[in-house]
Amino acid sequence: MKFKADEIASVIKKEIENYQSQVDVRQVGRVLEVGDGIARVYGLSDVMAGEMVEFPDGIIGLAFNLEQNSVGVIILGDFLTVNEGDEVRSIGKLLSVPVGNAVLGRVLDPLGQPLDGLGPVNAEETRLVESMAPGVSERQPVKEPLQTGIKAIDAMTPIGRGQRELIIGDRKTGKTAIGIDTIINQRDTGVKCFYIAVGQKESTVAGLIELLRKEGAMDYTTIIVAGASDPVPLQYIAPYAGCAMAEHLMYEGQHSVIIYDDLSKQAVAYRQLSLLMRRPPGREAYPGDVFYCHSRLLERSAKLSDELGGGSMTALPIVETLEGEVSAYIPTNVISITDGQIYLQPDLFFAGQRPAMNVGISVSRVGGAAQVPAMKKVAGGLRLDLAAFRELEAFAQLGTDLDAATQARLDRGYRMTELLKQGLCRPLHVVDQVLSIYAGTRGWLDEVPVERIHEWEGSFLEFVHANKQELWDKIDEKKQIDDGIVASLDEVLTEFNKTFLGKEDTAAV
Amino acid sequence: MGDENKAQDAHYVAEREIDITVERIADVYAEAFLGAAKNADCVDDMLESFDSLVSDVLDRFPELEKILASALISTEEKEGILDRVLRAESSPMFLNFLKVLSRHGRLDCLRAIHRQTHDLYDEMMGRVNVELVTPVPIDDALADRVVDSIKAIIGGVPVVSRSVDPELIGGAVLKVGDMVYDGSVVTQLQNVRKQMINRSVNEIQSRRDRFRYKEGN
Repeated sequence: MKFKADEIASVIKKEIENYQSQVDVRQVGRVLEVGDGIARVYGLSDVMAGEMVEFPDGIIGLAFNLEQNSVGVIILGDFLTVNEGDEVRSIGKLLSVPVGNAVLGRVLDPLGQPLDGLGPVNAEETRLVESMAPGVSERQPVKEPLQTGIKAIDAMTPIGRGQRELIIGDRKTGKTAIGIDTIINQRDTGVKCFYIAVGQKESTVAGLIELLRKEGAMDYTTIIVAGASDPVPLQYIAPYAGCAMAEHLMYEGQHSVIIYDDLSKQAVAYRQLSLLMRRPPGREAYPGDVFYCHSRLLERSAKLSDELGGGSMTALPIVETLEGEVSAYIPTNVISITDGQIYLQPDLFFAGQRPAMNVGISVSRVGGAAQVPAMKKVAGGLRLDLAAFRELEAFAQLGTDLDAATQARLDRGYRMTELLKQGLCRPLHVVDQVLSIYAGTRGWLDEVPVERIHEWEGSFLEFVHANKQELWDKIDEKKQIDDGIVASLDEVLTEFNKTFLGKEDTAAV
Repeated sequence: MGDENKAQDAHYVAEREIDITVERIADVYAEAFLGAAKNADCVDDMLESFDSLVSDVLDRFPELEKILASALISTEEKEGILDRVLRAESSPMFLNFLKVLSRHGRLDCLRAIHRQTHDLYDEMMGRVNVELVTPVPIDDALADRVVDSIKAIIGGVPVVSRSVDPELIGGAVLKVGDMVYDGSVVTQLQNVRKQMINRSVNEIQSRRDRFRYKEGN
């Protein structure tokens, strides 16, 4: 490429002409020691907590600890280029990140700088990374559903827009998968998605971005990455940075969902910072304010009142447990902050139950109000039935003879758990979910062999879309299941079952 | 050997004012020193003794400083040394001060205490240290004019120290405590550069063709 030299020269000339010479007034300090992402600075006597400071190469830091004779600064960048004796200047501003539509579809670091090689982020607005959560009068109760596209969740622990629903479980139990499916399912809903990867392997994140791109979900998704090799201060602020971006959309009256993957790693990063700053360690060596660290983050998720535009920000924090230990410090903290949790268990996962949700202890405290009425009707007793089934199943393993009623309940349970299995990246529309669960709970699957449930569901939904689209549209429009619809549903199911099971008969012959 | 190293470190640290712990300890002793001197109404005498101790004794006989700072030598011995060396010339009060330091094992912080005492005294007297950095040596009249211009901001009697740094290219830099008033050419050039980058990034990104020939390469 050949550049127009004179054009460039004219731009430079204009810039110099417009430059207003002013005496540069700044408050400075000197780096006493630096390492592990933090610096101890002498001077900066008037700096305020959380204020940005600048190191010689333009690296930004945050005043984190104000002490009698020194300031502890966390360095948001490569701390290896900062040296002892360097001049540090205070900027007099708080940390902010670019927000708005410019960040959608981008992969950014926690400071809002691009990592995807698509050029600078041309954002017109910025927003403070740390800001106050909306107060009581600025909110309204959660009332609209946020469809995850996952049957087990939408039926039993429904999530509403503005809710905070924790996804908790051991490693490799499909926590991230729930977040990803939720993002993919927002394709036609207008909900913008934010995925915050904290302390994860870069290769995992790269794979995930590729997956989202393939599914066409990157158009409305922003990914903030503070990988395992990034400096700890970046891992600590990443959730707040993502939150600021999602919050901006909320205050504009839009809907957003943000996935913090995961907050236990952020807590570990915060613990490291605090210990290096010599703050006193508390339980599990976490600092005393680690609860506040998470509560102030999650409180920022809200459903705003109509006067403020009625926007919402749904948070799906992820917490990793060790050996199923939910009574550890961080899990109990985050469980108590959020409006419910989805608990994933390794034994269910390896038994092929995916998502490996433990129905008994997964709850959604506010989502019920937001659930689609049709779903509420068909999935009403599902949670309790399944919990009862799990108990019964354990009992049945003793090998005792069972009466017919118990056997029937067991059979129904086997079929329901089979029906609730769902593959990765296969989110279902809520009406499809209603149809499946209706068939399951009303006994239409009792005749179908357990191993053919999956096949049955696929062909049934195909059948409805091909032949009974008007019924589907009716449920979608009304969001209700009234007697008329029940009657026609039963009719459709009878018709379909006849062909489906009949086919099996012919196959057997 | 280890203690000697430690003593040297403390010395070095005190000189380069970088150990926060030493700094904090020195603060306490400096305040006590000035308070006692003020009560006895002999601040200037005491300060003079202190200055002379640092410049005439410690600077000239670094061995003595090592001995005083060393933890290997007992308090009694140190007090004996101080008595024999300084009794004739120093006031009893100053000698007592040194003995207190010795008993508390803080003689290694002597230089830091000295500096803090001066800082504290300057503060008490409303004096403000101003450092004026220029690219070329300037005469007193010009320096006074520069300092006069910021007198209102600093709110005190300026005590000016001057230094020369050719890297500034032009202009001058005034340092008052933690504040830096930077009117140097080098900073202005850097600011122009930063501003240009910030402003042009969008333009270059959105209108790349403006800088390119239409017909291509």
